This record gives sequence, structure tokens and C-alpha cells, in this order.
Amino acid sequence: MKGALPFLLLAPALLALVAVFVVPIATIGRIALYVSEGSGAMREAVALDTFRTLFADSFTWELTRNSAHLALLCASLATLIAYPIALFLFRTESRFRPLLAILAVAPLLVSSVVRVVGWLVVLGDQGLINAALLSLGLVDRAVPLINNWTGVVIGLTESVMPYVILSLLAGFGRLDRTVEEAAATLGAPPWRVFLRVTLPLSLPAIALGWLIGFVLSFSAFVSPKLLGGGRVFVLATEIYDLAMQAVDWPAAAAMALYALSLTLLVLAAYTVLTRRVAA
Amino acid sequence: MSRPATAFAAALLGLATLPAAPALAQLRGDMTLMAYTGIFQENYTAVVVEPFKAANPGVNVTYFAPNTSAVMLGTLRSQRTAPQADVVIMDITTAAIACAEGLVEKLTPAEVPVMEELVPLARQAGGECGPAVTFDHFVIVYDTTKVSPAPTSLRALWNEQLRGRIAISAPPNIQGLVLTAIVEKMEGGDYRRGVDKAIERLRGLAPLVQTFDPRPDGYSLILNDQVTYATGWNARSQLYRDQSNGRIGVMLPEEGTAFQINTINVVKGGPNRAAALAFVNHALSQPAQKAFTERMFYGPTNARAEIAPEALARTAAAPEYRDRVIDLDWADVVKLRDTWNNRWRREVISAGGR
Amino acid sequence: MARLALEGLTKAYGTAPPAVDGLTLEAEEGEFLALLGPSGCGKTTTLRMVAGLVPADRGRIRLGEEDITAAPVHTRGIGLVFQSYALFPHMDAVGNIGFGLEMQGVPKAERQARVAEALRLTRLEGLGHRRPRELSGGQQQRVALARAIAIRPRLLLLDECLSNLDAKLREEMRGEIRDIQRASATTALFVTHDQTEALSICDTVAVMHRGRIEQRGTPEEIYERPATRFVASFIGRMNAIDGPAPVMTREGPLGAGETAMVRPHRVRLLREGAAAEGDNAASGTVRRITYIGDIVQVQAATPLGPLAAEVSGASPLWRGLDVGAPVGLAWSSSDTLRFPA
Repeated sequence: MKGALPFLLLAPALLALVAVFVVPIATIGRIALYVSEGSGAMREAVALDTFRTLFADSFTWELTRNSAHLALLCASLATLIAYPIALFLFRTESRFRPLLAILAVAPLLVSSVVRVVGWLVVLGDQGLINAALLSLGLVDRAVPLINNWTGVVIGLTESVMPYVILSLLAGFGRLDRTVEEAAATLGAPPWRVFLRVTLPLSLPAIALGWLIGFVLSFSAFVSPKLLGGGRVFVLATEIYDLAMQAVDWPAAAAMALYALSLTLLVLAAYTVLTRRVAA
Repeated sequence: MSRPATAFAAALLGLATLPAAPALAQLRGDMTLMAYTGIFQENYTAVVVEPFKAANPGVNVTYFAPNTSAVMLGTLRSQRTAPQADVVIMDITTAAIACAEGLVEKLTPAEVPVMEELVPLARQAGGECGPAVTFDHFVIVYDTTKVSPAPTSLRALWNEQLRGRIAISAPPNIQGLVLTAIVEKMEGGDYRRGVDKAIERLRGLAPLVQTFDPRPDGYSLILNDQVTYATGWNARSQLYRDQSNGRIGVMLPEEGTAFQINTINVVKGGPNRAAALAFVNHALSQPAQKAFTERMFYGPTNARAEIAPEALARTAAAPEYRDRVIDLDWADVVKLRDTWNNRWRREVISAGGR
Repeated sequence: MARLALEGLTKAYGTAPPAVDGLTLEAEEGEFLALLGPSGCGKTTTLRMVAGLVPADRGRIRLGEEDITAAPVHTRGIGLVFQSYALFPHMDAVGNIGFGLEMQGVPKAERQARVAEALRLTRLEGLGHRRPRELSGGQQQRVALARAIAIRPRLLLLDECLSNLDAKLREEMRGEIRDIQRASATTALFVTHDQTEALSICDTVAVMHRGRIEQRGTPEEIYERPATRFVASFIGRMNAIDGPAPVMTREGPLGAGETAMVRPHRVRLLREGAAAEGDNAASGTVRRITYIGDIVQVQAATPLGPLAAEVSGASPLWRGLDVGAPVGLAWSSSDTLRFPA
């Protein structure tokens, strides 16, 4: 009986995991093997037709490229912007530090849809930025900052940034102020301290933050859908269109599994790489 | 027969069916209706569901309102072995899937006598399953504070001054599919023989487009002054026109329009079949059809429903609009959807970069 | 290699009393000066101000002829050995030691030679390509030292740098640090709370208390002639007798409001019946006997208060002595100091 106790204690968590993760994915896996009739009706089957169609369609590769491109760009931008913010939060001895930390991750507290509406106000053709540019006479005509790739990159970068900041903060463990002080006493001016000590020591944190940003951007749906103006086609928006507009569940399921395996592949590559670097 | 005569006959027949009502009053139990959310739910509850409840005090109707037809289909699929809903109102393309998958019942005038009163298109639309309960049609909505005189032609959109001021719901949204068919007709073609002309013409429109996926919808974008023109559905457009005190204008293009059809179906194996059949009969009846058309400007599917002229004039069932409706076979369009969708993405939207 | 002079150095954190309060101190060229004090006395703040890691509120820091009070850290040319060593974890020993030379722009060939020299001096030959985590505590300590001296600093600062080592290694390192400092003739400031360390390796000891210097002198002066009651009680073990009491001190009889102090090893232990020698004596009973190895400390309750005497561990005097046994204690007035209480 004693041996069973740990399993009993784990049971709720395992059940929850099965309920919210294993069952849905298994269901999606099952539906992907169904066959779509011409009418859109779904026929129960165990067939790879849907996958065959998926991989034969050149648009699938275009979507993959788009998703990867978007994720690369947003993860890199978010890491670039989040790094100094996270470093400041990690360092500051201000008594406002908890408040600043909350501010930095505050976007997490706002629903993604509300955040996107906020971006409309800022980036729209009559938005704050364009109003400023036009009234300053810097441009003749509103700069398109929304309903295109630019808008999606801006919105998505902002939405993954809190996660990147949190992972950077979690990864800064090896950063030791006295090591930087040591470099300074040895004659290194601040920029060389940063390049030779701070940056190398925070590389694991940067890699982790970038990975989180990449995975989140790769699977992001809300920003591409709401800020893309129907011009930005990525795997996540296509899965939505297939399931909700074309009502082709097998195709949507197959593409969802494909996108999921790409994400897992990236995670596996990261694990292998960090193991190799650490060794 | 002239029009007034038809209407008169319909009214007489309507009176004739009244004595059947007491039989329905013996129905009991709970019944679930699954249909659209938002203003559809508000108005449908007020003028169709409530009178049904009043006539059948023993029936307790629950209105279950998912966001879209796709979600309704998903609900039906997941409840296949133990359905919770009795009646479902959804888009014809989704209903066709439900019909083919056997999620809804085949209906005959034997059980639903009111089907005899419906316009031929309404029976045809549902195939062997439930018939059309509302006709809506494609329109162009515009900002009346910026556009005058009121436009009548789709060609008004091809105007360089509208750069960044147009919202179009591109395929796979069905508004985009309808637009494709209309533009093909405008250019002298027929969508059944291909849409090359439409695609070519739409490529020219693309650079003016602000968004191909208006969020939350085109009507809101006009009211927020984000765009001047948008694609839309008539019923909602008419309601927004009234709600915005005429700020939103509605144009039924002289080049043509096409129906968006919602059908009504009895869920196979639903908990209360008797109430379901009674509700379908009620929903398709002349009073219900009249009330809902006058309330929300969906075109009636019951040929004998006598609609107030001012309401009728705001639907495609108005005599002056009737011949503008393109005969769009949705079963065909569903099969063409992937091709059109791809052509939009590769040829139209790509020409409208911003 | 330069003379270090601190003049009226002051640093306060918030509203608390200043951590360093008008501190004035000099270290001669080539001198090995210990800054000794209990934790919280301001010694580490002083060291950080000298290094440039903390700005001074007031006062001057001079190194040689130069006023470096406001100079940025990286321009000071001061070698600092941190308590935690603060080695660069992503560089090997050679990288760590060569870092400062690289910053100075020393050409590669010369750099290699000087790193090799530093490795030799700190007996790290053969370990140059190990990363810090592949080195033992003592080896890391040596790398930190080598790194600090490789830049040929004008001043070497050592911050409690032996406190993380075990006792035996610490003793060994003391000697090495002393030798290396002598060999390079670098002026050095050694901050520590460990008096044994301070007294055993430094030329001069400055005892610090509440942000100020209490006494500066050779280890012997500090030990034998403490200038203040704080220094007397902080350095070494000490018996304290509050006056008035029949005790004769170096400066005269002990009066009211005064405290007499005498080190336990200056107090002789007398078995019962032995004649008292010296001008101070007390009799009492044994309270505790503590065996420390080389010496044995016997604590007794006397009418003057608790007094301790230390005798050699080899001495027959303490053998057979039990708690409660009557003993006599005697000491000379020339070994007895007097301070205001």
C-alpha cells in the first residue's frame, strides 16, 4: 500500500494531463485519419489521404516558411528588446522592482483580443503613430502598420515579450555581479565587460528566452489573425480557416499535427544542442 | 395570378390552418434550439421562440447559441451518440454536411406540412433534409457620411481615392465566394465556367483594400471610421443601419447578389422529436416568417407569408431586386471553394500588399 | 606600486549611521596593510571605495601622486581578489589571468609570457586550461590572485579572500600570499575579520570599528599595547576586571569607572598552598577547564569576577585539577592595562 501512495498523490495531476492534453491530441490524431468527401462531409476511416493532400500542396510549404519566418523574426526581436529590460529588472535594487516586474509582464494580464484592439488604436491608418507622422509632415499618406506583416510582427513581438522576459530572468542564474566587477577592476570599460562577461554568461538565458519566443510565435493565432488583415497566412491561421470556415476537420487535424511535430522538432533540436554545448 | 391576389390567398390559407393549433398545445417537456448568437438570438427569441412558447405552454425551449455554424456542426458531431439539441438553424453549406453525415433527419411534408407553403428554392436548398428558414443576401455597406449620392453599382469600389478604405471578407469566408461569383457576372462571365475575369478584376481592387479579414466585422470598421466600404449580409446591415441612425448605408449592387441561406433541421435522435417537429412547423409558418422578416429583414422562405411592403423592400424578395439574385448553387460552390480560395491568395491578396 | 592615502573617507547608506565615517589611513609603498575589524565595521565598504566599485560621499583617495577619488574602476589599475574569487566561469585559468592584460592591450606574446609567469608564481603550472569549476577551492584562490597580480597593479586589494578555505589550506595560502606580495613589492590592503590572519601576514594592522580606525600599528603593537578598550578586547583573549578593585595596572591602581585588562597567558596558575608571585593575585575555584591542544585554559570564579589563566598543555599544573578545586591566580601589574570603562 505504501508504494501506491505516490501514484495516488499524482493521480489528480495525471488525470488532468490526460484530460487536457492526451485526449484532445489523440482525438485530433484520430480525426486526421478520417476522409473528407467532396461535400465536406467526414467519413470515418483509417486513411492517409488527408496527409497525402497536405504534403502534396505547395501552399503547405509556403505556410511553413511563413510560420518559421514570423517566429524567427518575432522571437529575435522580442529577445532583443526583452534582454535589456530583463537585465535591468534582474539588477535593479529599486524598491519599485516588484512593481516594475509586474509592469513588464502586465500584458499577460490583458486578454490577447483586447491587446490587439489596443494595437488598432496605435497602429491604424488613423492611429496614434500615423496621426503623429502626418501632423509632423513626415509622411504624405498613412504608413501601413496594420493589416499586414508589419502589424503582425509588432503585435506578436509584444505579446511574446513577457514570456521572454520571464524566461530570461529565470535563466540569469549564472550572472554574478561580482564577476562583472572583477572584469572592471581588471581594466575593462563597461562595454567590454558587457561583451566579454555579461553577454557570454547570459547566453543560456538568451537561448531559452528565444526558444520560448519562437515556439509561442510559431503557434500564435490571435495576432496573425487579428492584425494580419487576411494577408498573413501561417499554419495556425490556416488550421483555424480549415476547421471553422471550410469545416474540413480532417485537413485541420492533419495540419495541426504537422505544426505540433514541427514545434516538437525545434524543442528536441534545442535540447540536443544545449546538451552538446554543456558537455 | 397577380401579387395582391397571391397574398390574399396566402392570408386565407393562413387562417385556414389556425384550427390545427390546439393539437400542438398538448406537447410537453424540454426542447433545445441551436442557432446563431448575438442580434439573431435576441430577435429570433422575441418574435419566433416566444410565440411558440406561448402557444405551447408545456414546452420549455432552451436557446443554445454557439458562435458559428462550424461550431454547431462540431457540437452535433460530438453529440452524435447522445444529442442534446432538437432543432438546429445553420448555414446551408454546413447543414449539407450534417445532412450527408446523417446528423439531422430527412424531412417530408407528411410530418412538416408547412413545407408545402415554401418557395421552391427553400425546399431545394435543404435537399432531403430541413428546408431554408431564412434568405439573406450579399450587400455592400458604406459610410453615408462619406459617400453621396448613394452608390448603386459594385463598380464604385474601383476608385483610387478609396485606397485603404475598403474591407472585404475574402474566401474561405462565404462573402468572398459570393463576391467572386458576382464580379464574374459583372464582367460578363458565369462562375460555373470559371472565374478568370473576376480574379483579374479583383486584382485591380486588391491594392485599395484595408483588410481581407475584417475584425470584428465590416460594419464596426465603418462605424469606427477605419473603412468606407465593406462587404456584408443584408439582414445585419439593415439592423446596423437602423441602429446607427443611417450612418451605415446598404447597397444591393445592380450587378447582382446571391443568397446566403440558413436551413432549419431536426436533430437525429434528439431528446424531444415531437416538440422539434412542432417548432420547425412554427418557424416556417406564415406568422413566424412574417414577424422575423419584418423584425430583421431576412427574406421569407414561406411563399404565403404576407410581409409589410416597407420591410419587404429591404430584402431581396422585393420585386425590384428579385431578378438581381444570381442562382448560386452552394453544393457547386463548396466544391469550387478550395480552387477559388487558392486563386484569391496567390493572385488577389498577393496583389494587395501593404 | 604606490603609496595609498585615504583622507576623511565617508560613505553612508540611507539614513543609517555612516558605514565609513571620516576614515583616514595610509599604506606606505610596498607595505602589506591589514584592515581588521568585526563584520559590519565598514572595512569592505572602504575596500570597495578604494577599488572604485562604490562612490565615496566625502573624502579623498590618493594613489601615489594621483587623486583617484572619482576615477572610473577600469582606469584605476588596482588588483582586487574577491572573497568569492569572482573568476570568469566561461574562461579557463589562462583566460582569467590574461583578461586584464588583454584589456591593457598587451601584445599576445608578452601576454602569454606574463600569464605563464603568474601561473608559475602561484604554482598553477599545468592547470592553465582548466575552467574554474574544474579547480579546487585553493586552486581557484590562486587563479584569483594570479589574475589580480598579472596586471602589475599599483595596489593589491584582498577581500576576506581566505575565508572560504579550510583551516589547513588557509594557513598555507597565508604564507604564499605574503611571499608573492613581497616578491612583487606591491602595496597591498588586506581586509579581514580574522585577527590571526591579519597579525600573521601583514606588516601593519589597522583595527577598524564603527567606520573609523581605532589603532594602526605593527601586529606586536596592536597585541601588546592596544590603544583602546575595543582593540584590547577584539584582539586576542582578554580578562576584564571592572573597578574599583584591588588591582594594580601598568598605569596605577584601578579606580571606579575603569576596567583592568590582562591576557590569560600572562596569568599564572597556582596550586593550593603555593606562594603568590607578582603584584596582583586572586584566589577562587575552578569553573571550567578547556583543553585547546597546545594550551589549556582554566577559568576560575574569584572575588574580582571570572578570571582565566592559560598554561601549556604539557604543564603538570593543570593535571588532576577538577571543577570546584581551589586555585590561586597571579599576574604582574606590568601586564595589566587600564581603560575607562
